[in-house]
Order: sequence, then structure tokens, then C-alpha cells
Amino acid sequence: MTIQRDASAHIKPHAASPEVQESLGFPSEKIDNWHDKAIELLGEKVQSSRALKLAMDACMKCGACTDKCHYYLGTQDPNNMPVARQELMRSVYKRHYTFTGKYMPWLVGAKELDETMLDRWYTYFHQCSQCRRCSVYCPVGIDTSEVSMAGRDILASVGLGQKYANQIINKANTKGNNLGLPGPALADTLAGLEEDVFEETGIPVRFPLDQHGADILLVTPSADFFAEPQVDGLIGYAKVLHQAGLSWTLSTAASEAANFGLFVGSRSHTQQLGMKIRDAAKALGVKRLVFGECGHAWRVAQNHLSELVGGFDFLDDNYPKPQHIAEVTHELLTSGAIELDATRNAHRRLTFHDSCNVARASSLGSTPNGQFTVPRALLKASCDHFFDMAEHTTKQTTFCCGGGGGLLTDELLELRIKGAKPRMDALKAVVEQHGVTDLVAMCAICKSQFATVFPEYGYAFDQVLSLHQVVGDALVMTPAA
Amino acid sequence: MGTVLTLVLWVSLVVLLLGTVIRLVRISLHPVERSIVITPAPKTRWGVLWFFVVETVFFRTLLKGSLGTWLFGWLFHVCLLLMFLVHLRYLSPTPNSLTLWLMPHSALIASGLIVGLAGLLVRRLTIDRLRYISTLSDYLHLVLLLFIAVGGVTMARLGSVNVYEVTVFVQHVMSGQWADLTFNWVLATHVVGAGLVMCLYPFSKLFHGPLSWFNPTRSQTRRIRS
Ligand code: SF4
Ligand code: SF4
Repeated sequence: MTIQRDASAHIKPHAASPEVQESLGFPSEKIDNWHDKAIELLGEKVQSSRALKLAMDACMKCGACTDKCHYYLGTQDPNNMPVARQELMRSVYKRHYTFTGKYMPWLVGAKELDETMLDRWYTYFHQCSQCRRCSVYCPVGIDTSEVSMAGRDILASVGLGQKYANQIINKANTKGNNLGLPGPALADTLAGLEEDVFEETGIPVRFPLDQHGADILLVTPSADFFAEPQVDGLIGYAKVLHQAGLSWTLSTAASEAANFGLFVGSRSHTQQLGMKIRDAAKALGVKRLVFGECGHAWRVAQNHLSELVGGFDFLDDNYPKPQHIAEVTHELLTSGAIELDATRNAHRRLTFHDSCNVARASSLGSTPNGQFTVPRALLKASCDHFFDMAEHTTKQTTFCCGGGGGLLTDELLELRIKGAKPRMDALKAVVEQHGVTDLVAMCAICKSQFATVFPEYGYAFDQVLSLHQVVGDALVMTPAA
Repeated sequence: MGTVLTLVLWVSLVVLLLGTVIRLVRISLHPVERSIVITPAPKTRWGVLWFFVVETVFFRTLLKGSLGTWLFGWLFHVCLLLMFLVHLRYLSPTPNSLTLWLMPHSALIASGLIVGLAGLLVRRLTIDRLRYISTLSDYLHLVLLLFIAVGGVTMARLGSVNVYEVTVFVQHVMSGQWADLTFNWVLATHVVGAGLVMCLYPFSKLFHGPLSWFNPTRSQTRRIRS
């Protein structure tokens, strides 16, 4: 595969509107002294982050990462090679903050942050889904997502925010969820789901909302409330919790697990969104906090939330930290509290897409590699036909779906389709070899992305399933439960 | 020539040692903002240490990432280490047994060194992805190292250098005394080249090895629930 310069240079996200920018505390439009401000912020960011400092200093240009990014593999644009993406920032950093870059820029490839470079930053820092596959292959462990997060934050701070992600943060801040779904609409939706499940099973499975005194607060991505196949996942969680006899509730105030603050590299917004969850859990008096199927939400919940929001000392001592719904279900299964009947999924032949943020930034359960074994154990207990995709495309080296990291927006569709190619190639192999019928995912973004790009690759949009949809279909439910 | 080379070696040694300490202290002062460890990661500090030991000895991640670069890169680093051990002969009239054992194989070690470096250079020049990301300094680092290696081989082949004289010279330098040395172009460039690498090491990408130990994607333990 040869590089094709500027092959994806034309793909960039829409700019955030002045109102959205302002609501997030950013300048409404590109400021006059953008250059100086950006350079100053770059210096501050590198100074305050060891990961970023290493990205600026430790890359030996070995090239091991060059063919590991799905966006490079899909577009062949050399700026999508992780090292080249870093170099957009590194070359500017060198120019302003290193001796050789200042006095011998030609020697080390140091460059000025001019209009062209600024445009490249905007373009290519928004062609990184922050999946960190490249980092797995980097001998010095450089994390390109830290570079694109910092880059986006600098861009927004000089007035060049991205519309999709910033608008979503704004909605989550003001309405409680990324979709801007108001409380009454949410209550309606949940009532509708109760009816649907009752019709299907004859069992009164409840979808409680804002129920004080419930044991568990379930925080799930808002896509679970209405989008396909996410909503089938929500139904699956509800069935499992109902069957296990657990008391649980959803919350209007914390009707969003996703935290786009991470994608735009903003600690304060990540914190603000995290606080809503803590406040809701406290207000409802719950004992446990459980997260639904959302990759980056789980990353934030497991790695950052406690530190960002000041801990969860009010939770039950047995469950002092946030849990993932897959862990809960897996525990229930292994303890015999629920039963799964694989014959109910006999018509399906499944494969599993590991989501980046679960695979490479989190763990599940208490066993090593739980993030890989727990969902597979649930699937194998739910269906007799399970086939993994090729080794180098799963688990720690899983390919991104192509729509993560705040890129799940229509104007980036071309990038998303191309970026999905490595995953689609791996899927094609198991479809041809094992007759796989459905791809299972446990991340709201992955699910939406696949539902959108599947038709481009010859599959139906509904061939992507939620993990808990498969589990829910296999669940043996008893009316008495 | 002895005086000039003595000065070169003193300055280079000081820069190397001081530079290394400064770089290490500075990077360790950069705060780790939040946990960004790549999972699955070791659970304990010992596990992390073991990861780095394996990484340092075998370049395991590079092996996973690029077989060609691993092959030439690993060969180069191993031969560089062995060549360093061979050079310890100049420190004392009675070298240690490992050095004595390695000395007869120095031609083989030098060949490995040159093949490794040349392989890395050829890859950088011929693979378009690597060419795209390479700056002048990336090529010059390799050329400089090749130049030093070829100089060493030339001296060994021609037998033009009096090993005894060099040993006496190096011992003087290391004990902080000025020393004399018969003029020899190849030897002079070999030593100056090595001095340059020592000076560049702490202040360039050549320092990637020590820095990698500080990377929070690798040096943190995995948070796992009990
Ligand atoms: S983090 Fe993912 S999307 Fe970004 S450069 Fe690395 S591989 Fe590509
Ligand atoms: S793998 Fe790491 S060190 Fe090698 S070129 Fe990529 S970022 Fe640089």
C-alpha cells in the first residue's frame, strides 16, 4: 500500500457555532492572536502532561505505528499515520520550545504554526478516533490520542471548536443527555418499552426512572433510549436486572453515560459531566452505580471518575466503585442467579467487536483480561455459534469501528466509511469462513457507526447487535421473578 | 592530537552524564495527569518492571509492530552493546574476561553493527511511509553511527593504530590526566564522532530508551477490582 498525500485532506468536521463555543467557555470565533495563544497553550499542556511531553520528545521515528491506524489503512493519507499525526504538533513544539527547532528547524523538521498548519491540525486531529491501537505497537508507548485531545482543546480555545462534540457537551450539560431528550420524553419512552417487553414476554419488566431508594443507579448512553440496536441492549439490561430481582433505576439528571469531555481533551468538561452522575447517585440514595454499554463512558468511569468527582464514599462497601453491566450480568450468571438458554439464539452465528476503550483502557470483572473474556463468556452462554475475528483485529489490537472519539457525525461519513474498512475486512473473513450472521458490540458509538456503514459493505444495518440484546434473548425468564 | 582528543572525551563524558541526569530528572517532574495505561497491563509494580525488562532485552513491542525494523534495530543495539564491551579493553592493561572472550569476535560484532545500521537506513530510504516521516536528523543519526563503525573497522583492518598507545591514552584520560597520541586521521574522526554521539544522546531522540520507562501508558499498573 503506497501513501497518497492529502487523500483525506478535504474531510473535516463542521465548526461549532458561536453560541455553543461560548456556552462551553471558549471564544465564539477564531481569535486575532490565535497563533500566540495556541503556542502558549501548547507549552502549558506539554509542561503539565508527561504523556504529551514524551510524545514530543521520545518518538524515534521507527515507523512501527505507521500502518496500524484504521484511518491510514482506509484513506492512505500519510497524515493519518499516527507518527505523522503527532508530528503535526511535534514540529510546532520543536520550533518554539527546543534549541534545535529554534535555530536549525531544517535539521529536525520544525515548523511554524501558520494558517496551513492550523488547518491541518483541525483536519487531522479530527481524523483520530483516539482508539490507541497505535500505542500498542509503539516501542516507547506514545499515546497519539493524548496528542489529538490536546490539539482539539487548543483549537477550541482559539475559537476553532468542532460542532458535533461541543454541541453534545452543551446538550448533556443543559438537558442531562447527549440527545437533548427532556425528562418527560424519557419517561414516555421507558413506558413504551415496558409495554413492548410485556407484549413480547408476558412478564412485567419495569424500566424505573428517578426511583428514590433503589439499590442500583444504571447510567447508560442516551442512544440506548431510542436508537437501534442500542435500545435492544437496554431491554436486555432490564430483563436481566428484573430476573435477578435487583432493585434499580435510571435517572433523568444523569441520563447520559457518555462523556464527550474526554474526546475534546477538556478535563473541566469531563469533570462537569462526571459530577452530574455523582450528584444523581447521591440524590437518589443508591448503593451501587452501574454503567451500560458505552466504551469511553466505562473508560472514564473506571479510570478517571472517582478522582474527578471526589470519590463515591456513599456507595455500598461491597460495591464501592462503578460497575459495568456486563460484569453484573456475568456475576449473576456464574453465581446461578440467572440462566441463559443458548438454543434461543440458534438462528444466529455471532462474532464480537472489542471496543477500543474497553479493550485498551479498562478492565472488566476481577480476572486478568476480563474485558475480553467476560463479553465472550456471556455470548458463548447465549449462543452456540461464536466465532472470533482474526487475532490481530481483536482484543488488545482491536480495530476501531471508525466512528469513535467524537467523529460520529454526518459530515465525516466518508472518513467513517473508510476508517471502518479494516474491521469490515476482518468481518468479511468470518462471514465467508463461518457464515457469521451478526456482529455484536458493547458500545453505543460502535453500534451506531456499524449500523450506518454496514450497507456500504454489503450488510444490513440490523446485522449489528447489542451484547445485552443477545443475552436478553437467551435469558430464561420466570413470571414469578 | 592527544590534547584535543582528551578534551573531546572529557567534554563528551560530562555532557553525557550530566545530560542524562538532567533529562531523567526533568521527565520525572512532568506530572501524570490521569491513568492512561494501556490494558491489559500488569497488576503489580513487579509486573511492570518485568514488562520493561523483557522490553529492554528483546524489544518485544517493536517485534509485534515491525519485523524488519526489529531485526535491524535489535541487531544494531545488541552489537553496539557488545562493541562497547570490546572497547573496555582500552580501560585497563588487563581487560575483564568477558571483554577478552569477545575480542576475537569483534569483526563479527562490527559486521552486525554495520548491517543493522545499514538495514535501518535502507528501510528509511526505501519505504515510502518511513521516508515521509523522516527528517534530516533522522538520517544523520544513522549516518553518523555508520561513519563511526566504518572508521573502527578500517582501523582494525589496516592495523594502523597502536593498541598499546591507545590503551595508555584512554587510561590517562579516564584518570583525568592529559595524554599524548600519535596523529591518525581515522582514529581522530572515530573518537570525535563517538564524542558527538555522546553529546547528542541525552538531547535527541536517541534518548528514547530511558524515556520509554517513564511513559504512563506502560509504567502504571492496571486498576482491577478484587
Ligand atoms: S489513536 Fe487510533 S485513530 Fe488515533 S492515530 Fe492512533 S490508531 Fe489512529
Ligand atoms: S511507533 Fe512510536 S516511536 Fe515509532 S514512529 Fe510511531 S510513535 Fe514514533
